[in-house]
Amino acid sequence: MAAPATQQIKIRCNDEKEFTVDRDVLERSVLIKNMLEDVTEQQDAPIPLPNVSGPVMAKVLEYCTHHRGEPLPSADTEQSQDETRKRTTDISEWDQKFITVDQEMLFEIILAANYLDIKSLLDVGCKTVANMIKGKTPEEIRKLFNIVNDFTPEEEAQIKKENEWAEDR
Amino acid sequence: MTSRLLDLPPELALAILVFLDARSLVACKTVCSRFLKIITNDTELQYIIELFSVGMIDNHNSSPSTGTIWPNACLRLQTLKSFLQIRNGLYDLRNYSVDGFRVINQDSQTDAWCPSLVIKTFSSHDIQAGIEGNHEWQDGRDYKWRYFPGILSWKYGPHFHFVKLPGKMRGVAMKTWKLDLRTTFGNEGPAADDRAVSYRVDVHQDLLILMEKPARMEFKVHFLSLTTGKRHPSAHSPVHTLWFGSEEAEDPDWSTSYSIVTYDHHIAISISSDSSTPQLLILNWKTGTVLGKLSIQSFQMTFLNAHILIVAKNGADDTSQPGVPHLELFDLRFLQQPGSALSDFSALVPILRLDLLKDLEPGPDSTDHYPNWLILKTGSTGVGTSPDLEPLFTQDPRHDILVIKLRFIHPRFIVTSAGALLDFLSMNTPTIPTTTPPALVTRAFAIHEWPNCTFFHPDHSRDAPASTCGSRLMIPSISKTDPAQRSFYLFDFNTRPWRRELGGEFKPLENDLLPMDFSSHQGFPVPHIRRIISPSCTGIWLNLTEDRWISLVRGSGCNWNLGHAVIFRTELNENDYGS
Repeated sequence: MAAPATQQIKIRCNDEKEFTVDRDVLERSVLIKNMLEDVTEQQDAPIPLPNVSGPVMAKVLEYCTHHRGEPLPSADTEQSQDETRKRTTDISEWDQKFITVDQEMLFEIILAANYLDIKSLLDVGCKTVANMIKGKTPEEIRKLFNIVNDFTPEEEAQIKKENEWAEDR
Repeated sequence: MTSRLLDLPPELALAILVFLDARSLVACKTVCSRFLKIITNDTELQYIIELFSVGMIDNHNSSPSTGTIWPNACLRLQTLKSFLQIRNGLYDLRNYSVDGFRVINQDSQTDAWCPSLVIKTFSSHDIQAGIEGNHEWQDGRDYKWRYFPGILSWKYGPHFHFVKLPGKMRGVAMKTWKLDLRTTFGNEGPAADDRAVSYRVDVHQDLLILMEKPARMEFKVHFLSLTTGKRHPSAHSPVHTLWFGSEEAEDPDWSTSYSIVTYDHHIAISISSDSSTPQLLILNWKTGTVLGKLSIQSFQMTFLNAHILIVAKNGADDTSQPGVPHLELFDLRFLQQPGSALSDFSALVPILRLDLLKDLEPGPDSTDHYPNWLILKTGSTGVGTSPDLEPLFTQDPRHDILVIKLRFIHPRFIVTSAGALLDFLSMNTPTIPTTTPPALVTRAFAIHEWPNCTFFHPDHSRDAPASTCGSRLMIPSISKTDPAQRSFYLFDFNTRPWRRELGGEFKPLENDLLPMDFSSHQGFPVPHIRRIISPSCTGIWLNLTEDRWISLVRGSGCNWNLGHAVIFRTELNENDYGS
């Protein structure tokens, strides 16, 4: 993509960390894209992103740079894609490697992708978490995500009973 | 340290959960209350779980190329639930499917046994039942389970094993027990389980019927209590001995097939073999009387009510010609004749014959022709004309459900109720000709043999034309000397009696043919019966009084078997219709 007027945009994260990025990379974020479209004249002041920290933004930019130039999902196709994407939790090889991070970072990325409105990145994050849950017992899920079992033994027995049918299928 | 997963806002937690399969979603429900709440409150996730729980696949036609979009999850869930309501309603009444048993650790396609089994039900819960101990399962022996409504049973060694299936509707818990045959047969002779050639369980009557074949041509039928294994207290005698075949005939190979069906006091036993004419024997086990013995080629049979026996046939009794699969309905009250316990009843004619390929296959323009018949087809819509029909009856008389399973190229089920079939019996008559209503006349008729009189109401609507409105009574009549001489009498209380020869049209009844002037009739007092039961309409009581409608009295106490119907009609006005 040899756009002649590759514009450089400055962003500032909540920890004062600043990045200067090509505009087409940043425009993978629907949030920033809309912000830039609202601003007609050139601005030197960096765009503040109060919900994202520097290390997380670095990861997000790594993703956006790799996927730069790929077509953004348009509003028309979103509905049908919305349905088909749910049937698969496959993640491409590069994304798989990219998302191999610790849990802390994984959830930061999900929150940042949601805030910045980067749908493809959000899906990668959510699919990764879903894959971690899949095939595990409730106890394993609790251990993995540090969740406290807040059911009383009676409640737990009741829910288990209701879901007996799902065993051995 | 808190959980980062739980810190996510609900919409993000949901964004993760939609990628999960139903089984993982169910696991997540038990993780913590927050997940449980999210999952149970989301329609789409519920849809995924419920669809999976009933083993179905969402057969949507949506694809980006065609541009069609799924109806939303809410609508799909609604559709699924309404479908399941019908399906569960249907099968819950029957409780369990006879096809639904599978054996643990075995190929589910085979009937082979191993020490424990799972009863697969249409409702989502499977039931597991075990066989005690570690048996050496021998090859080549028949350990097949038998399924009777509500009871699963099998023989092993000297024992009968029973599993009473939990009744979902009535909250009956599952119960397993076993009976030792040695208490019945003693320790002598061959192994007990070989002596019981066939058996039948009637859970509603606590009845276990055992058939034993101690000698040539001889069968002993034992009536035992299902729960204790002792003699059934209601049985006339604990053992009923039957003889089949004639003295000079060779002992045929009786082992081919036995079939026993029960309905209250009636028991029908069918024995067929390759080498002799199949026999059907009907007896009343509470009085010990044999009602009749028929030679009919039957595959399957069931009682429709206490009087009507349905026999499914693959073809004509004369096997030389190819037949059409059909059902024949017999009225047992034809058999109730004194002093003729073991005479030949082979001439008994069915009161109705239903062609399964023709009569029950609605044409393209008659989809509502049999509104009470639900015909479920599996597989393709092609019915085919395969003669390899094997109807299987499943009946729950207490719930008025009758299921006829037909195996064509693709199996299909006919689900109906005994009441619907009885309606069908009475309604499936030629159109009644209209005529000018005569003046109100009081009439009395005496009819020999009125075994199956049926009230029916062609149209309950008050707005219907007078010719189609009002009650009618249909009485089939049979000549004892010539069973082929049958006719139906139809009494239309709006007009006048009609008579129909078998296969013919209804014709107005000539005055001198049967009706008699009530005053000249001898042998009956003036009827004072104020309440009658329509004998073939199960559960329907017609409360009629002699001064308002009709009175009908059957015979007198001294000569019960020679039926007489006395019908007379008094003032009848329009206001009585439909009441």
